[in-house]
Amino acid sequence: MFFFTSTGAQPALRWRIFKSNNISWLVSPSDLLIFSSATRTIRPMTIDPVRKVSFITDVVESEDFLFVSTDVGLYKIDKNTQSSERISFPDDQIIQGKIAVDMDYIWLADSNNLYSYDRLGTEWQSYKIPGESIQTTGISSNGEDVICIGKTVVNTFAISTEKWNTTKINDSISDSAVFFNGNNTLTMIDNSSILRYMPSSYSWETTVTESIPRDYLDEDSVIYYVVGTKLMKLTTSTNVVRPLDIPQTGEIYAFSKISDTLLIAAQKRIVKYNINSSSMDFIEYTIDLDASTIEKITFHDKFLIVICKSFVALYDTENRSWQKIARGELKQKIKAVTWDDKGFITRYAPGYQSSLTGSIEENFSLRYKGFKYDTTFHTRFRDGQIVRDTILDSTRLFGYTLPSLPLMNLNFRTTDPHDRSLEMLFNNTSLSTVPSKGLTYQGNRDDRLNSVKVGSTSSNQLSSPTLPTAQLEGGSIIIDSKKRIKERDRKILRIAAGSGLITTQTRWRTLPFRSNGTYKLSKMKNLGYNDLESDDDDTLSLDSADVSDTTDSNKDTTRIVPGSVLVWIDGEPLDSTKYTFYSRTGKLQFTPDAPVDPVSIITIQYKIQTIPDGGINEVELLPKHNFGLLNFGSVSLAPNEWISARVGYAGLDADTLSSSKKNSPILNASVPLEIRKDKFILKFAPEYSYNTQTGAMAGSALLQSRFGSKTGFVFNGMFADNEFVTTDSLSYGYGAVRNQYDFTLSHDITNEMPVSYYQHRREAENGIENRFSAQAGVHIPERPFLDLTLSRISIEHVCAPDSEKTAFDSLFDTKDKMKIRLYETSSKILTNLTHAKKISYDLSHSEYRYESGGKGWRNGRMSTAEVTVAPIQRITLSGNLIYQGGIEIDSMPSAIFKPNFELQTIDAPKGVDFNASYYLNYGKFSLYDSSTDSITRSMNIILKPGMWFPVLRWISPRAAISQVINCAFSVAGPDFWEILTGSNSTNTSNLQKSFGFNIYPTNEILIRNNNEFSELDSGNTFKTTNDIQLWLGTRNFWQAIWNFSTKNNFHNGSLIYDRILTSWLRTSPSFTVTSMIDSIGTRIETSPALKININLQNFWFVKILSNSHDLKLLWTKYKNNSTIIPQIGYTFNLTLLLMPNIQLNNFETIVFKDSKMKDFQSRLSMIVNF
Amino acid sequence: MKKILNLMLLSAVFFLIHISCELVSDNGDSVQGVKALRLTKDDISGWTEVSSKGFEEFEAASLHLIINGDAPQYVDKGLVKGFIQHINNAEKRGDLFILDFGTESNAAAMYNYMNDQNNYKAKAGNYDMNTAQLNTSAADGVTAYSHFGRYYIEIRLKDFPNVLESHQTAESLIEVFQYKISDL
Repeated sequence: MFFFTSTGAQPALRWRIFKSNNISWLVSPSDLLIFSSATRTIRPMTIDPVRKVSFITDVVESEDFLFVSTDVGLYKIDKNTQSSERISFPDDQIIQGKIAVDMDYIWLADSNNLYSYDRLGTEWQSYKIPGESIQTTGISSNGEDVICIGKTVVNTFAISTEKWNTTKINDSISDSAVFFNGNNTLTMIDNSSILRYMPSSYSWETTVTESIPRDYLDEDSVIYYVVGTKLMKLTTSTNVVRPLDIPQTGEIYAFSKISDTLLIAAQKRIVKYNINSSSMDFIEYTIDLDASTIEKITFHDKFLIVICKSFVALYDTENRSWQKIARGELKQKIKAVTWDDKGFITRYAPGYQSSLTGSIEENFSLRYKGFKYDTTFHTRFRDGQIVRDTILDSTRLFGYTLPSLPLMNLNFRTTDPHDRSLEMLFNNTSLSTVPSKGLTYQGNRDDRLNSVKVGSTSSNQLSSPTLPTAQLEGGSIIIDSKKRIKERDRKILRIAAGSGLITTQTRWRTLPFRSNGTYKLSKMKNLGYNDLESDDDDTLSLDSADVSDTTDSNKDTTRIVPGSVLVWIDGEPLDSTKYTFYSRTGKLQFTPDAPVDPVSIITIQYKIQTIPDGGINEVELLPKHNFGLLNFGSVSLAPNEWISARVGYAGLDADTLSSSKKNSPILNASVPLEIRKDKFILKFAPEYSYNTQTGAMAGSALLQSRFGSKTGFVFNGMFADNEFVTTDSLSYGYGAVRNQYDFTLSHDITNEMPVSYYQHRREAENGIENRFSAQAGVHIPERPFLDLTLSRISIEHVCAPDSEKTAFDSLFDTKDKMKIRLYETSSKILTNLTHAKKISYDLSHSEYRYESGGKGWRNGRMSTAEVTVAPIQRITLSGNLIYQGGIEIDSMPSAIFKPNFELQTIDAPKGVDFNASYYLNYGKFSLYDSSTDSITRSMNIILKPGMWFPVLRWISPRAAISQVINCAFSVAGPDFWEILTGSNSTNTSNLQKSFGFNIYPTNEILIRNNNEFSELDSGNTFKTTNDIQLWLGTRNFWQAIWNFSTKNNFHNGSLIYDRILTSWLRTSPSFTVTSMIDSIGTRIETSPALKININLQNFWFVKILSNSHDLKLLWTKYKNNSTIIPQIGYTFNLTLLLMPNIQLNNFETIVFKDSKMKDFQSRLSMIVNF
Repeated sequence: MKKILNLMLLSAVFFLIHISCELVSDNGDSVQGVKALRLTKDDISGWTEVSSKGFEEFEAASLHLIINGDAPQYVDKGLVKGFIQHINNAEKRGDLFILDFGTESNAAAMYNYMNDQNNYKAKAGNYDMNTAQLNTSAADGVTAYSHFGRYYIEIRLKDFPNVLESHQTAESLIEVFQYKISDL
């Protein structure tokens, strides 16, 4: 059994860092620490108030929760509220292991077994992992497959058919390996190797390191790691490793990254290195900090956290001050009542406690809004005559916001020692969802009262294909029998009931093809900026291709639920990497390489939620807008382990968002069966629903089965009467479903050769869709992997709705498609043949034909290619290609050709890093005998003189050149060379050249320079930026900046002297001069400024008093007119943290120009943290 | 403390009386801070916050830690606070700078400064150039500038295999932030 990290692992690799709002979670096998930036403190977290946690086996993050496997059980910790929930095993066993979490299950794997915890049914189920003593190193789940990596094998578990597939690992994984789970890869750091397993291509990628990595950071597409004195950057797509040229580090012990800045715990000090500009800066260690004792560093808000063997050091970057806390002092005595970073906690008796966590925030503001002008008439007598004076009166306007409902994220939780809890929550801080609120009681696994929920809940206990789960605002209750079935972890009797207003509903759309790949799915309110929704806006207006909901009357009371969009192309689910959906604006965007051809059927599904009239932040106890009232109840009886019968009732009332009135009492019955034998698994769930008022019926059947160890069969079938109304819409994009089925038959000829057949038929209101698809794969290690897909899709009896806005008009009758994919992550055959260091490729080609309205078959095709070649370790050539042909749409090219190449060299020749890229986008318009071309090419060179002569390590020159060319040809097939170079028919061309250097002559002097020459159609420009820093010890530095651009003859120079006078006072006077020439004349601005930071801590009842003052004067000379009285600007920022945990923030800014107030703003926020 | 608060209150009253002003209810100012604009997991499908160090908040005084060298150009324009969020989608990467400049005029001044600096201007979707624009100098991505109310937004996209896709993505992101700001 592998633990969280092996005990022999490098210290930095033993830590995991997670973040939430004001808190960083720092986890190692022996510690769970939390750092609060609000209170600037670090404390241990109490996972279980009753049981003492001595060892943490694994920790993973999912959504807003941490799942922690420990020596006293499995825990789920809410990162926002810090509340901890114990997930008990049957008979209160203690099972430790590696954790993975998906939407439906929590997975736990020890050496021999995989355990699943059904989050809805609250049931554990165990599965034997094939093989003996697997020693699971890491696991991962994507909701369909669970991957368990052992020492010598990778076991993949198909969740639906419970089928295992085992493949061997060429090089076994050692006991000292450390596991990291990335978004797309599973990574193992094993001695001097970084092993990455990519489930999408069933392959391993190995990177051999110079020595055992000390620290590691995975950003998915880029990995950083430390070996000895070097910090390496690994680009995962090409597996190219590049050492970062950071001088003067000595041994590196740990590192962290903020934005583009790496914080490197080096031998003598912490180095701040900017990856983009290669600029550097330093933080000196506090006294007595021996860098070799550093275990991990991380950054939160403005604090650097350095974890050493015996203490934790905090560095405040704003005040440039250190604070040290011995790790032994972090343990606290438990008091009856406490109010600190862990919340307001009252402990009644051992194990009984209540905690209030979260925050309340109230904001006030006052701002200057200009003048209100008023014309008044004044009548008076002068010399016996009436005189009427017209007076223009002006009054300053100040806008204020009055206190309203505070922003609250509160959780009040009471627990007992037997894992029962009562929780009340309220959160109105999200901009994506309506305020969440509710009360939840959760019993323990042996109680009769399983749970009670009031507030946001769901009907998931009655969920079935004909009664889909509805999100509700209401209440629900679950009552279980005390007894469980002997053979499995299931209660014999379960009764569930609930009532509430439905707040979400599923939408389906079939979309027409668009050449730009952009679709707008919902109408948005006009924001008044008139940028997005002007009359001539073709993106959002209701043009003929607009696919948004045809009824816009509800656009301000519904919103798309984030994360709910799914897309199908020709009936096949589309990989989520091939599209982007912007839920707030309801915009769907396909990537250029998405397998969408001009005759594809594009079907999408998404959910909408109701929102109040006053906007998403308005708090409603019962939503005014809703999809109807639902009352439901169900009784489930499980007499033994293979059967579980359920009868239920659902009563649906009127929907406020449509004119239809529904009053639907539905009776539902289902009899799920589960039979598990060694060589056979059958899960069958027939279900039937009947509307007692209308007589409408619906039914479904689900079958999941496995025969032997290699064959799986999954079937879903459903029928529904025309009048059947249920908790959600039943549709697949062609209107209401009448009946539908789909099934998948899969078989592994060998572990490396899976084959499958899929078929579906969807008969609905507006059409019938049939799809037949066969797939085969050959995945033999160290051989090319091959996938082949053949499919036919047909549309029958399409009855288009009455509008032309639908996509149905453009659909074909039948479409056949063949797709072949050949790929290999690191080809041994090709490297042996070519003697290249590494060759990877991924080639795919699709051929399709379609016929519509008896007009005969027409053909089209699409190809994509990605190839990476590394002739030697230091040189990598990578490229990709997209080709589309047979396009017959007027506005689109008949053929598209997009190649892209990139060449990278590292120290080839020695001391020279080179990067060049070339991108071409060629479109051929056969019909018009013309073509277009767009070329983007660039080149970067970094010189490292230190590689030639070590004494020159202090200088780092670099140069770059890039060009963008657009061409239009008057022939469809121009000369190949012209296409590649754009040498003729150039419409526009932009060229940019730059060079610069970074110089570090001593530890105290840093010089940075960059120069840029641009040749544009609009003219040529030159720009230079220069920065010099001179450090006078750790407390003072000078900085001079000069920027110049020939555009408007712009000069900007500034001089800053930053000084820490005392531990609580920092001053930063500066002087800036800017000059530019515009079309009217010369403008010169002169501006002295002074910034003062005052920081006091722990006096009286004040924990922190931090304030900054920024005073700036500005003299302007424009067109030879000088201002005598300067513009005066003053900004004040205050942060006050009072005991026990109350924070006041105040921001004030005021600007005077020509002796008059030009701007004023005041904001005050009060936050009570629990 | 009580004396200080009373003094502050009195000063504010005297200040307002002295400049003969009128107080009006202000609907244009939000109560939520800039942090509420952080993209959540499902705001943009396919894109995720970089698994570690994907989100960093800062104030004017600590911005130099995030962007060495370039911090003064933001701080001098009146930056109050903000955050940077790093997102990625396969090899494509994005750095989102969402900055609160305190006042609408400061945010506009910051935008105008970038407008002056931008030699590679291009239209951002349907926005007019006074509100949002692209800088198309990069070969593998794009930088977008925009401002709404007191917020200035800078979106830096890179490592795109198709540069035109980066333009579409930047435009869509600007729209998302515009709507999010309207929700504040």
